[in-house]
This record gives sequence, C-alpha cells and structure tokens, in this order.
Amino acid sequence: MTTRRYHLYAMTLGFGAANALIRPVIVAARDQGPAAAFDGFGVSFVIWLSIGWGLVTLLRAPGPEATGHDYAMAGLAAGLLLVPVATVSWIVTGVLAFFWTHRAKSNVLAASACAVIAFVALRDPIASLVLKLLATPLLGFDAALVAKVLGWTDGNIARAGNMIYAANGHQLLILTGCTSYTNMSIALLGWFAISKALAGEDGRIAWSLGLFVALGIFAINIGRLAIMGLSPAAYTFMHDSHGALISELLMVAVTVFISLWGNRHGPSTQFLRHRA
Amino acid sequence: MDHPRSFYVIALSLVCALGLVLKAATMPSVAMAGTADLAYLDIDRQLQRHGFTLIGVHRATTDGNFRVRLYKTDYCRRPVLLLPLKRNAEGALILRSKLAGGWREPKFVLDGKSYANFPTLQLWWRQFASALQVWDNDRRTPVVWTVAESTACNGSQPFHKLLS
Repeated sequence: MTTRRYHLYAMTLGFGAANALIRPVIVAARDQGPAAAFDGFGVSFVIWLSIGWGLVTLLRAPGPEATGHDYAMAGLAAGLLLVPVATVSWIVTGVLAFFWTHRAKSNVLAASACAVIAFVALRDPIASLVLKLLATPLLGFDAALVAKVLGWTDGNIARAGNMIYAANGHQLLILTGCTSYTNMSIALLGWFAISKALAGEDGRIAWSLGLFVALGIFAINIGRLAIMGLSPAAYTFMHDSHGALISELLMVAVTVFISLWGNRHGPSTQFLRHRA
Repeated sequence: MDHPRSFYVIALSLVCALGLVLKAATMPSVAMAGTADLAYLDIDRQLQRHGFTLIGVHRATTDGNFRVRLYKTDYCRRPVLLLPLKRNAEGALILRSKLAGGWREPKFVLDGKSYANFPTLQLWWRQFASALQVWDNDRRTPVVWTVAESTACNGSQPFHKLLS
C-alpha cells in the first residue's frame, strides 16, 4: 500500500483543522444542542465550505507518492497539534498548508486547495489578534462613518469612540462582532475560495475583484449599522430580526456574484478558453 | 518499504487524534462565560470582606452581554459601579456614557494595577498566558474591571488592591 502525497496532505490538514475547531463545536453543541448545526456550530459556513472544498480537492487530486520529506513535515505538524491550544493548531495548519502550496505547484488544483486551507487557518489567529489589539481604532472608524451617514438625516448626531448618540436619545454601541473588518475577512475568504476553485490551471486571480468584494461588504455593513442607529425598533429589526438575515444574504450575494462574475469574465477563464 | 510507511500513516493519524482528545479533555470546566461568572463571584467575595455589598446587576446593553454591578459601601452615599470587560476595549466607554455629572472619570483595573486608559496590551498578554494554562481547569477568564465612583464619596478606594 502506498500513500499519495495529496492524500497525506488532506489527512494532516484535515486533522489540523479538526484540532482547531473541536472546542467551539463542543461548546456550541453543549449550549444549543442539535440546533447548533443550523448555525454551523458557531463557525461560519464559509469556513466549513472552504475547508471541505480544500480537503475534497486534495483527496481527488492525482499525485506522486509521498516522500520522506512529506512524512517528516506531517509528523512534525502532528506533534505540534498535541499542544492543546486552538490557536496553535490554526497556526500549524496554516503554515503547513502555505508550505505545501509551494510543494504542490505541479498540480494547480492541489496547490489551490492548500492555499485556501492556508487562508482559512491563518485568517483566524490574525483576525483575532487584530481585533484584540486594534479594536479601538477599527470600531472607532466604523462608528465615524456610521455617524457621517446618520448625519445626512439627523444633524444632531454625536459620537465618542465606538458609541453613537442620536438626538432622539437612542444610543448605538458598535461591538467587535459587527465590525466591517470581521465581515470583510470572512467575505474575502469566500472570494479567495471561489476564485481558487474556478481559476483552474491558470491559477491567476483577479486580485482587484477582492478589493471590490471588500468595498461592497464594507458599504453593506456601514448601511446596516446606520439603520441600527436610527431607533430602537430599527436596531431590533436589523440585529435580531429579518434585517439581520437580509444583510447577511446581501453580503453572501455580493461576494458570490463578484467572485463568479470576475472568474467568468476575467483573464483566468479566457486563458482556459483559448487553451480549450 | 511499504509496510513501515503504512504504519507511519496510522501512527500519524493516532497522534493527530490524540491531539483532538487532549483539546476536548483540557477544555475549561464551564464555558468561557461561565469562568467569567466565577471571576465575578471571586470579586464579590473579595469586595465583601472590604465592606462592599452587591445590591444589583444592571444590563448596560440590550443583548445583556455587558452588566454593571452596583455595590453599596460605607464611604459613599451613591453605589460604586463596576463593569467587567473580558474581550477587548469594545466596552471601554459604556460606563462613561451611562453616567451623567457627579461621577469621577472611570478607571480600569487589571491584575492589581489601575489604568486611566483601557489596558489593551496587558489584557491580551493575560489572555495569551491564560490560554497556555491548559491543565488548569479552574482557570479564570482575565477580566478588566471598569470602576466608577461618585464625586460625593469620602475619598477613593484603592481598587487596584481590592480587585487583585
């Protein structure tokens, strides 16, 4: 029995992601029961889908037999995964996937799968660090723009840090989960996964489309927060009711549409068409 | 040559699976919110020894994630307000926004030290150190306490000592 290189990659990276995700999944299942499945066990569906696509692609990719070098890397990673800290698991998985992206250059799909898993794995610790250390300026920036938008209809809007005070007494506090940064980092992951999945042999990604995705998500999020700042009723609608679902669907639609449109009309597909 | 490699793959899978088991086994005994609640109980007991009595807990935000704790004391006619912040600086302005005139500027207390501004780096370092204490199932979530006292109080209490 021989082990194919990309099967070894899939196994190691799959275990790495499982090690990083097991705790939030257990907590969500314990707190919410089976209903947690509808919420992705507290983990964004974009993350589940990206990891799933990456692993399935690696398992289906034909590849050479794994070398001693591959085994050594996998063994080192397995040892580091014993450290019972989720962030360490994400970093180990991300660094390994990044390294294997270059090792799998001969197979563009396998390299794309590794790149997507690297993005998923490294996004988490980086976003967490950024939101811990830069919460004040990030939240303040969002609040400043929301106050500006609200100022178009109400001249008596005041702001202090991440708090917005409307003239009608309504106060809006912008928290970490609502920052444009959080939403943008997930949307960019979705764009990256879709682009990598569709770019095929070319592997070139229209990076400018990522900028459009980020700007689109940013605009939707600022609009959503501005509506929340109008009144308590508007806040409840956008935060706890249909408005939340509408804005989330809008963000998914913008991400998917721009990513698909760009890959249908971008240089990657034209390159493939010429080849075909 | 094939057999040793097969055994290696099986051993690799077992080590990775052991990592999963270790992570599940070393989870805090209750969820993070629960460990924060335990930290609050510790503080209540500690403050009680210094003459503070918890008289109420008020929701500061609609979702109830931020709750101001009110303590009655002998040195102050108005209650002393404490707001625990456990994630980052996102709630640093809550207490200030709730208070009208007659209150001193809120201060932040973490690990026996008092700060005029939210101690972002210090909290991050404590969270990092706490995450590494994986074998301690009773470890507490690090909490920054925002403290507000009325200007009508007879002096000010050394909260950096009381909350350590």
